[in-house]
Amino acid sequence: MNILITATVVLFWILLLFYSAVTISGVWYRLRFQNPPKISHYPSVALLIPAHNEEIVIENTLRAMARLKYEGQLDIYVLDDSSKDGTANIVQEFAEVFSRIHYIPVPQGNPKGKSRVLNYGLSITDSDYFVVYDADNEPEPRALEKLVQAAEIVQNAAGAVGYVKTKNVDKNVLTRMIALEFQVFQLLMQCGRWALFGLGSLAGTNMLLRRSVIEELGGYDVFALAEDAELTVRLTAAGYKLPVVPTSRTWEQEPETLKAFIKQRTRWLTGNLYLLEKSLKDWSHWRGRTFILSMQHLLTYFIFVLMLLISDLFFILSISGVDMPIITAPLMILWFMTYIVYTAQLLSAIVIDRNVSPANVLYVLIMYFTYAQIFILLLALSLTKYTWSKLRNKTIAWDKTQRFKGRVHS
Amino acid sequence: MKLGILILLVLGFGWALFSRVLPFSTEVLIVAGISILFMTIIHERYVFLYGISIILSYGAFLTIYAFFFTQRPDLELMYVYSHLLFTGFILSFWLLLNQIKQIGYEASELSRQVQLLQKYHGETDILTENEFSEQAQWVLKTTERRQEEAWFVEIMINSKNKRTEQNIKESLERATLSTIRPKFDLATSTRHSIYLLLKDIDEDGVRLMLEQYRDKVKQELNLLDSPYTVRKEQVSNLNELSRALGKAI
Repeated sequence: MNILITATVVLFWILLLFYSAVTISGVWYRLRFQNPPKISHYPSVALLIPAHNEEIVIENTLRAMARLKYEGQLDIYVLDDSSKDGTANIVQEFAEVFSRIHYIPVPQGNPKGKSRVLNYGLSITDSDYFVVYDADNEPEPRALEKLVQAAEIVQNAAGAVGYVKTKNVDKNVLTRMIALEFQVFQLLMQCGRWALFGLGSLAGTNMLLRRSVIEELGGYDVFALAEDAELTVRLTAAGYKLPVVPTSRTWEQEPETLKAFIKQRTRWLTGNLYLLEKSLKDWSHWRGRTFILSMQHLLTYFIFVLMLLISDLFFILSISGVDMPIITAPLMILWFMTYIVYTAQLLSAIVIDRNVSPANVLYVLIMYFTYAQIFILLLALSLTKYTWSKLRNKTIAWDKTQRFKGRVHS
Repeated sequence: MKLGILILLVLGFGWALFSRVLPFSTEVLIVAGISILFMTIIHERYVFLYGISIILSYGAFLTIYAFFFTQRPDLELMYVYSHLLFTGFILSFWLLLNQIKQIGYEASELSRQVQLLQKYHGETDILTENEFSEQAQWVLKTTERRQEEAWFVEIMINSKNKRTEQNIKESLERATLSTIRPKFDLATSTRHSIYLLLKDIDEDGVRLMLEQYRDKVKQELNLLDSPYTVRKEQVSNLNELSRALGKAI
């Protein structure tokens, strides 16, 4: 028992220190970052928007797409995956007015999901690059241009990834916490991994890829629920790089209800479990820079949550007066310091993103006890779902994230 | 409201640090006091860095201390309380500084915007520098298209008496406004100079205008020596005006 507890404490702290180092590198990278310079020739880009029943968000999305500034050839394809609502009408209205916006109905097929739709989009286009935006995204006018510049300048780059900001941050406590989580784990750590190990990871949206690379890798894996993470591992294993461009920003809607959030994150976690299983069978995922990526998946999506559970159990048992095994480590203060380190990372993110306010600091202070704990439930749910689907030998169906009605922008 | 709550928080945490008997309370109080001074003095961009470093350092110290000298849960709990109070104090003071600085930035941004929107200086209704530049663009564009002449005049104030300098300047501004053609010529002023842009006029016209100006100034001021000197040059486009203004400034 003693050995188990000591090993847990040591591993937990190694992880925390690792994440702290990545956070500090991320802060360093953000402070020194300069926009990639202009290039002499801008290659052609196909912008792909997979869409399924998106009538409440697609108008704002297309309005933002029409405002994109790009000096090369840019074609925007809305890939309609059997929408039953007014998505088609709205997109067609835009397509009639703007020559570069195209409405593409995707033929029925299996398995359902974003990967299959994107593969179809790739099959009907022939641009040098393609960029993916989710149907609720509103990129800033120069977002794409910056991605292309970075992809063209960095040697051996497969493309580039940008920053995803939360559009509905002020909606409620949940959206505020998601926004804070994105600031740390999506951008700051992404920047830190790039600065430390030359590793970028695709975010599923605001991501640019070279067509030749995706063709070389055989397109998207249609069974992957976290298609972005899965493709990142294959890209890295093939030796490609993905530069991170924090100033290329898109604004995305995040789940406004706990139910929608759990559904979305269970899919992400299940997708990561699929990726873990795939990585365990494929040793190319454990060589060179890919080793760090695979390890990080293993640690973030499995070990860290498991340790969070163990540390919670110890804390509850020790304050309840239950006799704990005597070990030569001050468990309570170690537990407390995990909270302090976690909170310090979040605080650094809001300072770097210049959105310090008493309300945000308050949310940061309670996130460890609230938001972070949900991930234990999420891991349990996704493990059950994944194991059940394996036992029944069935493919898990793609669950689209629920959209929420926002204000239509002018 | 926010500031009030933050001040209360700083005072509350400070009082708790002072009054509670916790491990290392004297040392913590000294560090908290020094931190207040240090965080107030240093550049804004390092305030958070200092705050978070001191919080993490105190945490690291307590962890190491607990590892080697204490493994009693009741004492560990005291360390946690001590760290929480210290963290609360530092964070609320950092937030207070942050809010005060934000209010400062908002105020200077607002005054910058007000300056941009203002057309006239308060005392004499002479144009603001920004408005002068804006209107000069229109004036010079029309002058250029119609192939007319425009003249830039700089009136430099020579007063050596600091006490009366401001009033001399205002008198010169009033004389300027009553000499130039209203709604036709432009005039602005800086601390030591008055600038004019006279359109559709030749060199003789400028000389006549300056003579009238001299007479008006003489009527108002009892000075034997002229309180100003004049520099004039013809301008036909914006670049020439910028150059003339550049020389003047």
